[in-house]
Amino acid sequence: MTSVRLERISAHYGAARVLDDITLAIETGELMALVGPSGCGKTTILKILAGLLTPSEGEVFFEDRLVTNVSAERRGAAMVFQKPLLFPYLSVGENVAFGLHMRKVARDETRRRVREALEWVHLAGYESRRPSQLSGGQEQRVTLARALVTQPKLLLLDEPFSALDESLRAGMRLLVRELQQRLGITTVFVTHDQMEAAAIADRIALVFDGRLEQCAAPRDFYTAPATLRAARFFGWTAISANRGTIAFRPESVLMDKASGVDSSDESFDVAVVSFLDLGTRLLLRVRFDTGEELELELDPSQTDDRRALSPGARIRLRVPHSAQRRFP
Amino acid sequence: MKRDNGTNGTERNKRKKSGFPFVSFRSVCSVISLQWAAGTVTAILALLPVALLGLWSIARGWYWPALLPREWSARAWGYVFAPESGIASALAMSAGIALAVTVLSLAVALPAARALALHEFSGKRLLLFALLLPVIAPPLASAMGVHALYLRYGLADTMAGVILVHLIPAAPYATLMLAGSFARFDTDYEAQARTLGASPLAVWRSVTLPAIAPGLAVAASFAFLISWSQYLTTVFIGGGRIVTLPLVLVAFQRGGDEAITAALSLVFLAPTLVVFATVARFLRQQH
Repeated sequence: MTSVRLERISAHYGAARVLDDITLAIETGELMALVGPSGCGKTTILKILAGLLTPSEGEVFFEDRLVTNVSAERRGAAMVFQKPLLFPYLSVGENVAFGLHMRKVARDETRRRVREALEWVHLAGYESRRPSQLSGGQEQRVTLARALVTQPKLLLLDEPFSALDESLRAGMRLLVRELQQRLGITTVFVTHDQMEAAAIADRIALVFDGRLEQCAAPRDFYTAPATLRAARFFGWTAISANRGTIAFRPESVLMDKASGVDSSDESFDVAVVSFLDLGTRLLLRVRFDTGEELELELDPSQTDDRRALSPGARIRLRVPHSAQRRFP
Repeated sequence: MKRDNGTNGTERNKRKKSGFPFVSFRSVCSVISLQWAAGTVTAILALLPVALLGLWSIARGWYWPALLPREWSARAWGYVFAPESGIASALAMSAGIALAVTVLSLAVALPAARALALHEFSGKRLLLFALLLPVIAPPLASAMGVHALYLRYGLADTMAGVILVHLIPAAPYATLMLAGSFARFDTDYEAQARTLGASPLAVWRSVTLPAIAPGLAVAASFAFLISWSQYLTTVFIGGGRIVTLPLVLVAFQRGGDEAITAALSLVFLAPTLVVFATVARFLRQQH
């Protein structure tokens, strides 16, 4: 329930610079996803927000309060790690109550709030279980309850579901989103999965090599990526053209049938390398005259003649102007 | 002996429950009887000398070829517990020194073990070697040098000097043992606790300490027992003024009084058994 600002943050591990001049504002009640390849510094940003790490340069603000040098335990930013990190010698209830004990909350209120938090994560009545009796998904839900029960100013999630099965992950994503919106908690969610980020976040901050590449709504990364790297990270393919690079979404390509050709559409003569008919879509691997090979998806309605797509055949492809981005 | 019975019993129950269809009843029996035999032999080897000491301590004249003493006497035990014998004060001295050595060892070992297990720094291998030195080198080799040094600083013939010299083997042992505990400890638990509002002291008390408690218990008991069983270094540095139980024990052994030597040996053995029983029980509770 706090807006958060990072201003010109840099961080070093020894001599290595892991964050370089990051400025980022997260609005009250917003869920911001930090995305990027592993090792790009997104977890470091999270640790700086949590107060577990002091940046070498720059400031952190919660609302308008400077908290750069406020220690983690006084900052009120609860973190959920990739590992569940449930204290093994405490019961589930005691684990959830941990933060309340640290704040010396009265016993009755603690019991009530723990019960409520376990209800949030659909684990009502699990107070007396041991962490060792839980499944991976249940463990992570307890961890979420343990963070939420303290009513943190900021909720930090560090790839919290990456150790779970894909089937569980979708449900966990929904649960986090639902609770985050219901409780109105400002949240920062770290993931290396752009699909997960797009599914859950209000806005996505893309980080490369310790620098902020682009910060925008998920949709923008699919329609208007700011840089070629951002485009590639969100699944765009790119081909070098005479004037720089043209990026496009692999599913936006059309067979050139000479009709409705916009002069600004880009056309390519390519050779088919391989072809798979998946029923609802056609998967093509093609070679451009430049020697570059790309995988593309075509709508089956684009062609009736499957022989035209047999390996070795030459076809003409068109990328609609609206679906392409040019980068220098 | 009783405890052996207990573990064998539960072992047998486990086997019954697991119920391998291809393992015959007879082979299960033979495995169990083997375990029994091994347990019994171990128990006899461990307990027989103690039982003999018990007999010696209450015997009056026990000569070959008699299988058991002819006459009995409580003289030795009476002497051991008599205030004028000075044994009670030696016992108190031993316990006091051992407790001080335990506390100081842990005070040194906790930060040192954490650094060794969780941080990389230059000279780490050298430090590890230095830690192993007192374990490798015989105490006699260093005792002379240490004595010369302690004389210069007025530590010779003092209790502080004896505590300090006991720390030479005790602190490295405790450090190496605790390093194992810290190596298995995930410090993300501490980070997690801090983001939930735990102060550094609370993190230590409610996260780190419970996690390393088993290793801490073992390290503490080893430090205690290392100090408790020191003889040479106590003689060298204490100069005969700091009288601990091993010194009294050796004196009576040289004097040839078997009954008192035996009684003293049992007194000397008692804390060892108590410490190990406590630690074993504590470790079992942890699991």
